[in-house]
Amino acid sequence: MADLIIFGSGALAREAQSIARSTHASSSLILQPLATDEISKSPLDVLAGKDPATTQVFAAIGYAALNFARFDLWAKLRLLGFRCASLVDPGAMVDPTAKILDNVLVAAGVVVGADTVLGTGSIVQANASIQAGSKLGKFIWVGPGAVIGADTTIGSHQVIGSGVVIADGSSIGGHGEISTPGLYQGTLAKGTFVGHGFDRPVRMIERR
Amino acid sequence: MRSRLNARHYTSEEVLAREQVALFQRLWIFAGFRTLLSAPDAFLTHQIGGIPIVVQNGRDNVLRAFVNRCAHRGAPIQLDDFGQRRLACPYHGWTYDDAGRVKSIPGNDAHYGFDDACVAGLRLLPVALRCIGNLVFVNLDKDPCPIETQFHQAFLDALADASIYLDDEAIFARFPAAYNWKLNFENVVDWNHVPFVHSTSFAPLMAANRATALPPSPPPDDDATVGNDIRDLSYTTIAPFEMRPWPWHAAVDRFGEKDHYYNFFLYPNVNFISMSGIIFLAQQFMPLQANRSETRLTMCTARTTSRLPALPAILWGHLRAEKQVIDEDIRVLEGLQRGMSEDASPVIHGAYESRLRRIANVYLDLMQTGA
Repeated sequence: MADLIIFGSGALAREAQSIARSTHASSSLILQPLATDEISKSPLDVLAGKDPATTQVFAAIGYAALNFARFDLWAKLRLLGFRCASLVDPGAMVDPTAKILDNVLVAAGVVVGADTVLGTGSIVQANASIQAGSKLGKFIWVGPGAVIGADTTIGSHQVIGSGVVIADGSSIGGHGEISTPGLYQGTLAKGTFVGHGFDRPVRMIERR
Repeated sequence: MRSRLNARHYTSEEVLAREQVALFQRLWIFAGFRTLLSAPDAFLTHQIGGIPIVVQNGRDNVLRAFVNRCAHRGAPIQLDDFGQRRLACPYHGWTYDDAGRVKSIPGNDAHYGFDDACVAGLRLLPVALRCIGNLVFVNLDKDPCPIETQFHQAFLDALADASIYLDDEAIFARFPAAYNWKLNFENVVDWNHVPFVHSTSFAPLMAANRATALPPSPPPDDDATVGNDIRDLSYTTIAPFEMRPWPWHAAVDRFGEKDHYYNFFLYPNVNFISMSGIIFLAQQFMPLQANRSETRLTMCTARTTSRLPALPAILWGHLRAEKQVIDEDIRVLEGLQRGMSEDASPVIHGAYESRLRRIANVYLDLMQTGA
């Protein structure tokens, strides 16, 4: 029997396990507790003796450090030769033309429109909407109920908080966070942060 | 001992207007990190003493400061806090050379009719600029004092030594608070508030809650002993600090070798900090109104020795932690400001607060001679 090992300790890990019970019913499910700050030093002993050909893994680590914690675990798992599953809740509505890469989680009630791309490691939380033609980069977090409008691009390592609406055709640069609910339109530069007690956007000043 | 400052110094718009002239248009004021301006046409903007300022790196790689007003109608040449863009007015397209002279006026012949002599006399107003290590200072005075008369040479040397470690990427934030700007500088030099206001956030990270002032400052008994040398208001403290180790720390060229919390207090309005030589931040307290101020916060790592893809995440995480600490200060200081009353007695200072009395002495001298 094939294995699916889910790594994580928080709500996301429980959610991944819940989805996997439906989508990987024929697999042996293992939930391996792993706190975010243990990723770098964990030897991932549970994988000892496992055959990468018959074992899938899933990095169920939240959005800490703009999803870099999940990225670190994903990279570690991939280096060990394991394939990362993607978990799509049966209650999500995913257009058949949508491209869903590895280690993606699509929660219940999510709508994923036509010709969309959900990049590696992206997490789309319950009742969020990714509208037609939108492209999500790698290791993105879309919070519950968030809306990514049609033909929008989201750069890698972006956190989109609950209740955030990105208008059609917008471009969000990535390596940033929008946590204040509201409508965002147009272009938001890479390294822009909105929320968490800052009443105006915080910006990265990049090397020039 | 009662403070020589009263509530009016913190609540009066008339006092603030005099401060803008006597302090902010007269002293050397921190403008930003030079490391963020290394490319041609890189710039930052600021508002100092009520005057809009642009610090711009020329295509000749010389850093200059100007009043950020077009010679035509006074529109700002640069609109953003930071960026990379030539000196060109966004309003009517006038452009300027590196030295701030008008270079071109679109449609001059058709619309303006300025002759060559007239155009040659048009320029951006230059502002004095000095770099101490990687810290950029500007001075709006027409005849600026030597920066060495505002800061001790040893302190300038210490600033230069530390700031050469600044990285060339940073995170920048501005946030307002409903209190007078002076309260913020007084607050950061008051180490005794830390265990009370930051008991669960910042205080636990300090291995010893009391910073060791360098040089030590024995508590004076009276104002005569406190003195009024402006250079004494800027100083360094170093205290043991517990910095959680992260793998990325190996990817920076650290300032110093020990886990220390370095404070460089720059009168009148900057707290330049390094956490264990790994994270640097400058907090600058700018007046908006008598009872409103804005903190400009620039944070970076020590200069990186290899690429750090997670740098935005690292800095955002540190900035959020720092904002939590600052919000604890804001809560108390906004309450303090709200409670100010002109009929109340001036506040009382104990022995450890000699620096606050020294600040008041210098401040009153500056206000008397400069406004």
